[in-house]
Amino acid sequence: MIRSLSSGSLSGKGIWDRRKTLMWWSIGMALYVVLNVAFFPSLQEETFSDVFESVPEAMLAAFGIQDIAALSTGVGYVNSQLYDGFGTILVAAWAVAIGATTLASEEDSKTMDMLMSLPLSRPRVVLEKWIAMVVLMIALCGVIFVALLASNPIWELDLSLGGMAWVNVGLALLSVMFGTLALAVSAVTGKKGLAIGVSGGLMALFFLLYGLGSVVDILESVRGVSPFYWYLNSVPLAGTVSWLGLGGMAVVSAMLLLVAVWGFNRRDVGV
Amino acid sequence: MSAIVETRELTKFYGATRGVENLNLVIQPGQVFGFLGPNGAGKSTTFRLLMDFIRPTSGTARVFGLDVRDNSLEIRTRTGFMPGDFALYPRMTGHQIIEFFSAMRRVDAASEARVLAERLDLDLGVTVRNYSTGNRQKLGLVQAFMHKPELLMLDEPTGGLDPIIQQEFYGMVAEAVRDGATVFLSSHVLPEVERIADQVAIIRDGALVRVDEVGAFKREATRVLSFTFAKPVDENEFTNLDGVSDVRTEGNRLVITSSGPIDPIVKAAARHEVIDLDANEGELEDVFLAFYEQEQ
Repeated sequence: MIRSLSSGSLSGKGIWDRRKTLMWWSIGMALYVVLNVAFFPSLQEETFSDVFESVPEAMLAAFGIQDIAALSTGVGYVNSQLYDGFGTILVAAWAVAIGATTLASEEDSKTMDMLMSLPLSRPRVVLEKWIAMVVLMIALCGVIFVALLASNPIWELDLSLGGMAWVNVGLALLSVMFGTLALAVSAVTGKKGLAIGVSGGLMALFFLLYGLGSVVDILESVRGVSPFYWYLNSVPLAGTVSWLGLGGMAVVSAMLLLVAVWGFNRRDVGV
Repeated sequence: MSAIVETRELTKFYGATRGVENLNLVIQPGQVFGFLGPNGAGKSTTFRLLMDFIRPTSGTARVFGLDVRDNSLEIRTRTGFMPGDFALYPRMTGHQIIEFFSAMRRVDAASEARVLAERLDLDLGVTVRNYSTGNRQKLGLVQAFMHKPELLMLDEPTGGLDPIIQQEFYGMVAEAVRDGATVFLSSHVLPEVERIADQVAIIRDGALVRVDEVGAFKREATRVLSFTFAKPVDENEFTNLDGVSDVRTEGNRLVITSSGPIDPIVKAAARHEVIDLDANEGELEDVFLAFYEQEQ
């Protein structure tokens, strides 16, 4: 079974090749979740909120903390530490790394010629590599979900099952969307550096726009263009799902995938 | 029967850099077609165009009578290809590579691959990363031959192989042709092409200089004939013969350098009493070099 996963299909190979990376990401993100939420009980104490009082609002917003009072609830705290914060960025960054390199690295290391000499159409090559990325993102977000599920009763976070599930569905979708953007840039141009730069840059920009948009008036009106807003503004961790937001990320991902297929199909490969 | 490979005015520029220009190539079924030229002449570009890795700037190319772009999947199904400068997944073993490529081709080529690996003295249990250049080359050959394709396109197939393995490779080519395959291979090594090809195309700076049978090149190869006569002869009897470039006499000996037909020389010599004759075989290399020197 494992053998056939490794060599039975291109997407299977894409997953198999990254099995160790997935393991390390899973361990890392599970620790990230646990170590963050473990501080939740101590934050309930007065002194800690006093510390935050002295920090400028805009700086807190940039770090995903939009309401200090909300830190006293499990939803508010976990959001600020993970989903509104760097947890989301970390997961999406791995998707970008996969998307940017999955085609371009084969070209750089000259394995692409052998791959392309096999009877695989170019759209199929792109699609299978994309599927591998999607499966890896679902697996990682699944691990984060389980870590949160296990932490919930231990540190009395009082999170709902639906909330924990939806916030991770959204995380997988957001990551896939940025990963597909990176895939599209590298498929069109063949340049992984450009793919990482464009996708990472846009991700940082949208992240700051979403965070600062809540406190900076002139950004408030354009905050809605940020995918982080689509994902997080409805507070999915509280179980309030924005179908428009999830649908928007799915549609953009699909469009970017079409761009990737088109781009890879039209250009010279391995030049 | 129609041509296996046919290009018409095939041209590829990478930006301003020339790949190939107005290439007209016809390879007939069952041929071993040698593509000869120095590095950078456009050999790899031609293969990559035929495999649809890159798209022509102008002109057309057909393989099995099919358009290389529209029918690329069918062409690749029926072709075994070994790229010139290639890499294989470094963390897979030879076996895993064969298994993966077989799965992608939807063929069961494991047993044929084992036979080929054995012939080439390649251990498939080793990780690609730990293969020497020669062994990586062998694995490249195994995957090209294993599904018994109708067309083999091999870009510099023998670089890095030792002479015994090269002989084995020539045997594999001969057997493939006997079984009905057509072979298109490139080389910058002359004796190799001379040894296995029927037809030779010489490419220089992206353009075909000449396409002909190996025999035709050989007939034009420069030969040096030295006659020993019973008594001295007049060298003027030989200087105006077709293809003769140099005549020297030394006592009873006469040394002629010629790239022309041999018959008039022999007949002219036969008018005298010939004591001894020594003739070296024409080297294709001389013809080849002659094409290159035209440039300079």
